Amino acid sequence: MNSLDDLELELRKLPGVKAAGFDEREDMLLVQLHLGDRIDAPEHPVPIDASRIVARHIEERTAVEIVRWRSFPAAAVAAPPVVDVTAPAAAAEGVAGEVAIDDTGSFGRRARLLAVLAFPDSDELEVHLILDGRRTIGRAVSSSGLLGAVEATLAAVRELGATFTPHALFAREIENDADERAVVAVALEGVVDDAPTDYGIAAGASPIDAAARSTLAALNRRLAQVL
Amino acid sequence: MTDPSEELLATIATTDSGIALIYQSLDALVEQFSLEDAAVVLEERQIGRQIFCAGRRPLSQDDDELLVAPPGLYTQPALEHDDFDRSLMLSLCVLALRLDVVRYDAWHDPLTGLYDRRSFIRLLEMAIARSNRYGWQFTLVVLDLDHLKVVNDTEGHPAGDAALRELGDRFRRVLRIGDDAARIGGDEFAMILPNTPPEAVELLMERVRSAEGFDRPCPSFSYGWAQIPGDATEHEELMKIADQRLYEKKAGR
Repeated sequence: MNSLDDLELELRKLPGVKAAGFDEREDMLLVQLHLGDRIDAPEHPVPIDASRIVARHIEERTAVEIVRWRSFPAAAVAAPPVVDVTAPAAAAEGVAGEVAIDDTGSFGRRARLLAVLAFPDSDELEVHLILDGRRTIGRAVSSSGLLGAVEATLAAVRELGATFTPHALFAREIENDADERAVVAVALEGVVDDAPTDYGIAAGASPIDAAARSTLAALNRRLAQVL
Repeated sequence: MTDPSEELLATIATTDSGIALIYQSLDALVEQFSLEDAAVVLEERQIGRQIFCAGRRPLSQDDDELLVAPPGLYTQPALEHDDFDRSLMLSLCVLALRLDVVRYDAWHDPLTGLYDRRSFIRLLEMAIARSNRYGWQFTLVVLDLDHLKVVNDTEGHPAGDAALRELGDRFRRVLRIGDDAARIGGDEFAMILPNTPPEAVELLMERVRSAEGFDRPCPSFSYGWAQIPGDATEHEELMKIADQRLYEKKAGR
């Protein structure tokens, strides 16, 4: 096995991973993982574990992109356009109604969160977003905790072209939901001039994940105004 | 025209990588039938549903149908060659992936995910052979988790397992590309550290102890080392020297 095969197998063995892909770019290797709709174990968040595995196998500069799927009742999902299928009939019966959409369940034009990566060694935190196929990364100081995640998300949205300079009034962890996911509420001021405070609330696999999601939830409502 | 399934069947028994074989088959399919794209969705017993696209490419927004597709072979445009056995190719791809998973499990410790003893000895022999041939230096570290029996007896085996797993996680976090770590016995670990003088080992062990992101302090451990060139030319002797230094350290406490 070469290093890329070893890496891919190790990544596909991470809980919930359904697809892995690689894109060689001029200055880095993009590693993309698709995850099913499951909650990461708190001590083994998949984005962090994946980043570490990639770092062990690849010496060149890399970016790890995590795409999470959400499950919906099969009836709510349009049948996929089948191109050419060779599948046992029995297997087709077990298809789950899963589709990649944004975290709010809306199909509108919204930035989608790909990954929140914390690098304690370098005190850096990265938020990866995608909008209309364009990916951006926002960075902030990891030791700033929830506010770091908010700042990194704002930076990632600015990378998409937003010219705003909002600041966080607060970012608070409220409680854990029934699935033991962290729930964070965020209040942003100055997203749009003369507009009231924007609030966002979201659950995530970790507090910083939830903070990034709640920031995005607040910003997505204003996307048409700020981009 | 050669059937890609037949090629897959011919090489599956001798390949080192089932994943590479799956991609080779998809790429061959694209080339032989002048397709724009090909992908396969597999259901593997241990790691579940897996999607592979020709060229090892990432999924794009146009691949939404693959996300919900049942196991099968998908091509763009539709494949219309009746002489090509798609079911056979699908079955062989599952087998190739299964072999990879089994091979991986055979060489790794299921508790920590590190290499197991057998893999480690093989890696050590290779490292020694390279060192003897090219003069490359490396340090072998043998490491014991302290008081595992006490933890097992007083807090139960799950607590002992958690301590072993955590130490494995810490090694994974701290070790560099090219370093190898293994769990070679109940409470014993070992590492091969290329281009690392023995003086640097304590620094590395300190990084293991102080690694961030863990809820509790690092489990206590002791270690000994041996280096090549210098200490031995065979792996048994090298392990023995590292073990001796480990026990001297423990006895000196």
